[in-house]
Amino acid sequence: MNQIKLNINNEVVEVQVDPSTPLLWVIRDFVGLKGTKFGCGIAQCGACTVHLDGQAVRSCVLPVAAVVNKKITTIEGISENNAHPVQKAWVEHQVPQCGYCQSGQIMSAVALLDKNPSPNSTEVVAAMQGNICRCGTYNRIKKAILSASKDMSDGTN
Amino acid sequence: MEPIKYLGYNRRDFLKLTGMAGAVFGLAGFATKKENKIVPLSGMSDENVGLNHLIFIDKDSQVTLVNHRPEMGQGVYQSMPMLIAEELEINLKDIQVIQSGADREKYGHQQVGGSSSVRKSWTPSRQLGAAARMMLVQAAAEQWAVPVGQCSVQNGVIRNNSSGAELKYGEVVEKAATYKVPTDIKLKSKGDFKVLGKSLPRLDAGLKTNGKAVFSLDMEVEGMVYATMLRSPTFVGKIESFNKEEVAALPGVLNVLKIETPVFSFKRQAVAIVAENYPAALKAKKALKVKWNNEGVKLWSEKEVIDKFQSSSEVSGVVLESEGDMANLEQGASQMEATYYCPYQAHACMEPMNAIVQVDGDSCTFWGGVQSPNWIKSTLANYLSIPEKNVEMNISFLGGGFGRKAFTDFALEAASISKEMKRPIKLIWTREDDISQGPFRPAALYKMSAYFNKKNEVTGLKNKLITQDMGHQWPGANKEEVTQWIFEGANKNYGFSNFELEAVPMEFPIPVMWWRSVYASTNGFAHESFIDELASALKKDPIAYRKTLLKNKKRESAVLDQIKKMSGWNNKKQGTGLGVAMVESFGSICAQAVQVSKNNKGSITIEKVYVAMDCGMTVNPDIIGQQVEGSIVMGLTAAIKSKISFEQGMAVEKNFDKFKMLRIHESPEVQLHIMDNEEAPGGVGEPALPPIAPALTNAIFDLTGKRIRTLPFDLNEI
Ligand code: FES
Ligand code: FES
Repeated sequence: MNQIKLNINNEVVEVQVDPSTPLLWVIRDFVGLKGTKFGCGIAQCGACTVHLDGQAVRSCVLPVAAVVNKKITTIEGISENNAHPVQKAWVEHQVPQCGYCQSGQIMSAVALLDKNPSPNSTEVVAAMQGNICRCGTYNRIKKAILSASKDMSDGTN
Repeated sequence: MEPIKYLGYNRRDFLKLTGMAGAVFGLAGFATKKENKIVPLSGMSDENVGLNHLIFIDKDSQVTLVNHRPEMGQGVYQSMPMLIAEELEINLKDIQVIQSGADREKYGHQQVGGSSSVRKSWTPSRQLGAAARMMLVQAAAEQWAVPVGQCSVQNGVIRNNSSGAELKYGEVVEKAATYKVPTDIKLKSKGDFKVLGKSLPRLDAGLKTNGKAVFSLDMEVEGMVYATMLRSPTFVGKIESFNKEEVAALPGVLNVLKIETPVFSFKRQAVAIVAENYPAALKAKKALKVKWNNEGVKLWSEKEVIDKFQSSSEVSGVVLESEGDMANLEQGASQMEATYYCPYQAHACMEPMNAIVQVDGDSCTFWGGVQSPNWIKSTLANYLSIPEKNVEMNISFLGGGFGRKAFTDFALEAASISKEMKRPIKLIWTREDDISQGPFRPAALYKMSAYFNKKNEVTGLKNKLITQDMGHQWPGANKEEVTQWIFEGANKNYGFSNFELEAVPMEFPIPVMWWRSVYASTNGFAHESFIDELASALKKDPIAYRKTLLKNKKRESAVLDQIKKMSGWNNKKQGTGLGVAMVESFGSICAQAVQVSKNNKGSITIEKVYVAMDCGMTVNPDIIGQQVEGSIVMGLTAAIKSKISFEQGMAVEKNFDKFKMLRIHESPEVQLHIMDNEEAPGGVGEPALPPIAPALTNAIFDLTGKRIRTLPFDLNEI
């Protein structure tokens, strides 16, 4: 059991936790941010995607000890009130069905657009391959990312 | 574990244990007014006046509608309020929605499944909306001392047409609530709809893009601890021994216990690890060693399973449908036969099975996302031998359901652990549990036969289905009988004068359960493949042949005409194949055409899926679009990606590394046309699943001449 300091969504959080605990459970059950989801536990589905220093990572296979001194961003840190262009595009294209995978999808999408603000359709698909959606919202995800990218470059957001 | 210290964060408020004062029902609360706001459990104040069990209005005219059906992605959180709003004359943007608990008497049918929500609520929910509006108008009319006929209503405001005076709903609701609920109700006809049939944005969309939607996994109650379980990998194996002491001594572990809970009519044994937090429980599970006794348990291999299905096709079964004189026909006629096979499938809801259950003396409280609030409620009561009224159900959003979350096993497991531990237990299945433990979509083998006369006309068709009958699993089930809906989606409208549907139920120890579109998911494949094979044997166009068979069936023919037109059936692009399939299930008719091509590496590419859907009058076309896209992805996954197979009596596939899901790069473009008519609403969540596999394999046949009769198959290996 260790005292571990984490930087989550620009705030410092201190948790008392076994250092081998996957970051996912620390975020959800120790810090109490429930937006990040558990889907497989083996880095296959993307439901647990968060940003680590801006990179999309699978928090279910990342021991919390490995993220000390790094900047963690979760879905709760993306914006206040769904203000991020990706979130707006998600609502506009009515992407979510059950919604369970969507935090992870959005985190992957935001990381993609941060790196590559104007991806083409092939690049979108390549970046999103790690995120499963059992409800089958893929086509809308594709459209939403392309339209968010357009909005961002048009400066409409 | 030490108490946790937080800097800069407040731990999210615990969901309150108690129900709200006044109107609503110990609910789990994920109502939304502004998209990003979760109304807390205590969200509805005492000021709310109920006009019936679904409609509440406060003095400030805030309208709160209760959604009595669980939201699993299918959009009832939107469609149920839309039905009420249409007649209540309110703007959907201004309302709050609150999720109900389980109460058969109050809400009637609450289960979501069988694409039934809109069909079952279409009339009653609109009537409730209309009755409430009539009471509100009557109260206003009385206040103005004018006849009701002189008042009109719009957006929650009642207008006195002679004086121009206006009253908001909130101003008259208290008086309105004192009236008897009217019974003479005239509902609007389709031409007058303002809300229904419109693609209004989902009320839950915002909550589901910022992480604030509360799913089962996100619920917490005071004092709860976590559990994980190691269940018999062969479902019915018995525990011989396990290293209890060793595991119990691990950090955070509170207890390690043997659990036995019912799954249909068998008891599944398991070891449960209870711990202070879930990762501690998972870590301890790695150290858990259980010795299983599988004496007397047949340890099936995949080959044995398939052989068993094959050999059962020689046995005679139960004839459920018989037209004409099949027995005579079989004599001497020339015949065509084909065998199709679809394997077991897991549901793999994105949110693994989980729930919180607290058993406290003779009462029990449940928190979680379930499809069948009342079934789980009564099963819990039964299992615990307590009165049903002592079970409280709190329902959250479901991270997918697909039939799996109607079943009761996980609730009973959590209850049984809670009873031992005397604390609320949050039981979370791992993905491995979820994929390998079932209940599964049953495998199905079909022996299809057609008979021809001398003029080479088809005179009869026979479908022999070999599968597990879900109904046979319950204690005391009559195994002489076969579930009537086992042939859902096997088209009886093709009008063969000699026609037979025969089912051979397989008694297997593998637990099975509804899976999106249930038996139609495999029936559609066999039937629509075979019709295509017949068309090709007769050298007829697949659409034209279907139309001849359908004779004067108007709706079906219109759907086929539509799919022919939109898919460019007669002007096929060079180098592409087109295949069609049409399946009627859950009250709707869905035809699909799939366009495929072959790339230079020899792999098949699905270029596009065209869909023509007749689901009668619609509530929200965009949600229909979502459901159609989702059904196609799930149906395609079962056609070209996933299967459950068995070795040593255990499921081989346990997680997404082996149980493959369709991913974004494999999701084809979908173009949907919804037929416009005034027929009664049909189902929407499932009917678009069954046609995709046969439309695809028929398209591959069109392109390559190769017939695919076993699912799943690899698009790279045609
Ligand atoms: S839960 Fe982490 S990738 Fe699936
Ligand atoms: S929206 Fe349900 S899994 Fe993606």
